[in-house]
Amino acid sequence: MGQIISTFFALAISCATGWFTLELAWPRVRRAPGDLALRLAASAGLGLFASSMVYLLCLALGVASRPWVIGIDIALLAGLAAWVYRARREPGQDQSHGYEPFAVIDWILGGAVSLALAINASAWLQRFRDEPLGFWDAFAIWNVKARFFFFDAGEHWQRAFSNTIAWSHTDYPLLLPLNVARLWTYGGTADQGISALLSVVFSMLAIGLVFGAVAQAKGRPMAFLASLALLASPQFMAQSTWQVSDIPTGAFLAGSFALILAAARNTGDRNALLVLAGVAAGAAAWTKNEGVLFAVAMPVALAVVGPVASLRERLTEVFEFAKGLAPPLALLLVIKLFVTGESDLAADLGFSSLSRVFEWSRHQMIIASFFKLTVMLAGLPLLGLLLGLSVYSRFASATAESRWQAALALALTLQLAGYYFIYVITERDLAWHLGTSNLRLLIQLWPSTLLLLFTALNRFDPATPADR
Amino acid sequence: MKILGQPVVLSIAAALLLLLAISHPLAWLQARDVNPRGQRQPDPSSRYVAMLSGSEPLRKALAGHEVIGYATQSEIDVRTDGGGQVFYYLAQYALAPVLVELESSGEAVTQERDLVLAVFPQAEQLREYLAQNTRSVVVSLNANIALTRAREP
Repeated sequence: MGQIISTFFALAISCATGWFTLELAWPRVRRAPGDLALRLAASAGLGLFASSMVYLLCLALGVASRPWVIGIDIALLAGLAAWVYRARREPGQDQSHGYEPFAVIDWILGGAVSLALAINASAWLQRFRDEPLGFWDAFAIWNVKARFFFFDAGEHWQRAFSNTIAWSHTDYPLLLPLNVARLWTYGGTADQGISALLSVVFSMLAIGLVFGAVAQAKGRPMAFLASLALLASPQFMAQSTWQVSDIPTGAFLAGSFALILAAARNTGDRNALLVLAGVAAGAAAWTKNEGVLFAVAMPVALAVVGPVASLRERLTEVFEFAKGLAPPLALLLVIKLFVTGESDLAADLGFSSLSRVFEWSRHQMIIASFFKLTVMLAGLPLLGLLLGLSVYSRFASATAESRWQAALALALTLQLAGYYFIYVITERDLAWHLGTSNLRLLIQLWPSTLLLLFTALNRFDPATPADR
Repeated sequence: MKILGQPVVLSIAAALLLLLAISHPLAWLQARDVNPRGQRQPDPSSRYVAMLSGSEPLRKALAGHEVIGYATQSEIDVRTDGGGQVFYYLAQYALAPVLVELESSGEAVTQERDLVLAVFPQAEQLREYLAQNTRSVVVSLNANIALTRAREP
């Protein structure tokens, strides 16, 4: 029982840290529907990112024991709270007004989402009981690092990056193992249930971010549909207890998308939200190597989508995004250069690998795998339903946000193209490589895809003044 | 046609999505393989990890060691082999922060460590390994898994 309380205490500290950090940057002009959900989910993501940094600092300083970690976490939280309190007292800082009340349809749809969540939670619990260690990669790659951090936090935690176990991908980013080890440190034991709980928390974050972003753009009914669509994706739900980094990466990508769309709607205080979107993209890179690709794809997409006349304005936006992206990316670079092991995947590649782009059979195999696994990820009924909704509702006509949505669509396409290209040139057996990773890569993009789809469709109901 | 001020298509879409969202987990729960007592078969991976990480004699024997070896019956490709590979990964998981180095393939021991965790499918194979490599058991975990050390000449 004490362990459960410790775990929730640690998660609460992370969320509160993220909340106060977000408070410093969040626009205070107006609160839209979905604002609270988006802020809560973004806070939790930001907080878990910050907590991983703090725990890494504790490891580096040799003070990753329970009292030190809790003390440093609380000191950081108190400092942030005091900063927010001071900022709030400055005149003209809080012009926000209350949230829109729930309509009857919101309560009904909210009940439907809660029911779906409860039933999925029951399946999560059983999946965890059946396979407490999670998916293969959970114990071979992610949690094995967490065990090195937790069991020898004082002296030998760097053994996690030893070439003796290069097979465990010692170059992989550390957000997930650091957070698992931190929660174990709070609880005092390496309980597998804590790792599974964190895995589920990231799935909930993805749902919250999709809900918040769609509610802001298209109102709550559409946001509930988007949340139900994510809950109705069989493989996304099944992998929620796998304890691997793909759903966390997907949550951070969706977070970056959501914050960019929030920036698009807030012309008055856009820059702060773009910085936060950059932080979310940096957190994705700090979670899995595919996030580094996104850290390139997103700024490129923001820069190139739009008329030539607004290029200077767009480059300013990219600069704001890069301000948030740079610190986590710089830290990742330092860690990769000086702490973690070599990338075995990259080391295998050579100039001759590029000749594979001319092998048509590889393209056939990859395209077939992408299609087959998309169907497996979402299921044909859901894909058909989403297609039907798109046809019925149609995509919204051009608005001020369309340019941003087009940039997000391009970023998603570039990300997918990057995955495709890696498969084309991989030195590994292609069938093996696709079979062991393709579905998880698609899962990374699934929350962002649904977010983009539902924010691009026409809303069912006429917008209220608060939505516009 | 509207329901609660919203087009009826919203209600239909929500109902279908809810149906999908609950049908997948319910179908999975129903199809879940259970034994006659209503209990799921114990997960072998978890039992293996618990056996290694929960052994107090093993923990004491490993104290102070940075790296130990790992011997098994067949050659393991640490990246793509699906057979013995999983037990090696799980052993490393269970024994961290001690590094577990894969050092034998078949009968040819290439670079023996002082301590070697020997994991074989059958007790006979473990006995053969001990005899062929002049090793003795330091900690026995079961009939076919043991922590071993080279015997004094």
